[in-house]
Amino acid sequence: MSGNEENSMKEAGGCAAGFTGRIFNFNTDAEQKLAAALMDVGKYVQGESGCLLGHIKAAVYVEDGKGITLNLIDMDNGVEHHGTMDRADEVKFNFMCAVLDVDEYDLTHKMLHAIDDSGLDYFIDKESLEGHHHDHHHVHEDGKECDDPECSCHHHHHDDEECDDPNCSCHHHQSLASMIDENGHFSHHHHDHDHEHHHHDGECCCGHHHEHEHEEECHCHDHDHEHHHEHGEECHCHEHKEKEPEKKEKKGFFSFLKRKK
Amino acid sequence: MQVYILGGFLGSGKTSLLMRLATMFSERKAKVAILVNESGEIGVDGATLKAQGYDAMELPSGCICCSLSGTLQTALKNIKNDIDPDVIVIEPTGLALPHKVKELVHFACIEEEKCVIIGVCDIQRFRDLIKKKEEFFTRQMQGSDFILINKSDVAQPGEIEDATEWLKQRFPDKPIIPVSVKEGTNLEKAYELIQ
Repeated sequence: MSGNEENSMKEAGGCAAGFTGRIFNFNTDAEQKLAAALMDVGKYVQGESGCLLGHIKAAVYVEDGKGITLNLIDMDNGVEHHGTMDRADEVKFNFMCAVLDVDEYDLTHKMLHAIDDSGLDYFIDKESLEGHHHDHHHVHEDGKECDDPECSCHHHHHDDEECDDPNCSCHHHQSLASMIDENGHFSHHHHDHDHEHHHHDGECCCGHHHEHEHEEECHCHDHDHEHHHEHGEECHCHEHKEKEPEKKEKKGFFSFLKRKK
Repeated sequence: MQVYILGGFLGSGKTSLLMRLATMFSERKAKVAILVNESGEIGVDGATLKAQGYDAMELPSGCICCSLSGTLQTALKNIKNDIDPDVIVIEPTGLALPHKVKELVHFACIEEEKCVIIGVCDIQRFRDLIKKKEEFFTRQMQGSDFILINKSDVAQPGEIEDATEWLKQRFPDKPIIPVSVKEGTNLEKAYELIQ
């Protein structure tokens, strides 16, 4: 990387994230589901940054390049649909965001969740999430191969190599590419929350949709029993009736006298 | 050969303007080459342009004003040698500084007759942008030869006037034109100015 890498982006406090994939049985219903996924990400960005300054886009196209674009730049206006497309058994899609004041990893994570929760029949290209790790050639500005083991460029890992350094920043986040299974689905990941969070007004605010499989315990609910979210099921924890307050025995004047006895 | 650089923040309507301008140039029998840049590794604008029938060269994974400066210059040389167009329209990312792109075009030695920066602002989010990123936005606009205030069709009463006043105070010498790329309002006027 050159020293000037991402100067203007950093200066603006911006970040860009994205991945590619395929959608099967693409029709108007699928287009709406994809638009809903964009809105989902938009709400997240708005929540994180305070407002959506930037854009969330998806291009859907077939082999010859013809297709449509979905573009979200204003939450009030919703997703703009550009172009038309006939139903197709399989289409390619590019999904990207360029926004301000949001963490890139968290944004990509949210985008993956949005696609997974959308109800689309999809396949995510794992390589499109791995690209960052593979595209560095370790050549410096002067065109020479880097032979300095202390140089930060060596801290990038290739995804087929195990990192042995527990202090390396790569351990701070689970690789998003590793969360894509052989079917191209985003799945089975653990949320290593090491903080506690609470529900406000009884609503779950953990930010995860409960329609997909979670193998983790739900830590966010202050129930006196443990429960798991099962595959394909909604979270039922809010259906539990609130415990009725224990009936306190009314203490009258005579009860005090009884205890004295 | 003329070079046009469309500068402006994310979501200001640069890609839509690019498509309109490319059509206007093509209608006047000019051979147009399009170069789009996206900061992320995954590009969408190239696919959008292709889907709409435009042939564009896409430069993803970085910013042409800084990290991809060498790539931009190589791309410009290739376009000059392979296509030799009458017009090159460059759309940097919404997080780029257009005056830096202009410098790089100059140093690419493609013998351009002129290089014009068209600044694009989004009237809908003008206040939010000024509130959050005033300095950066000012830097984006400062190199512009013209400033277009886009999305005039959805502006609230007084918004265009306020934005024009704000821009006039900082850039008194630059022509400022409210346009609606979506509806085509004032685009002919803008086209005449940039020629």
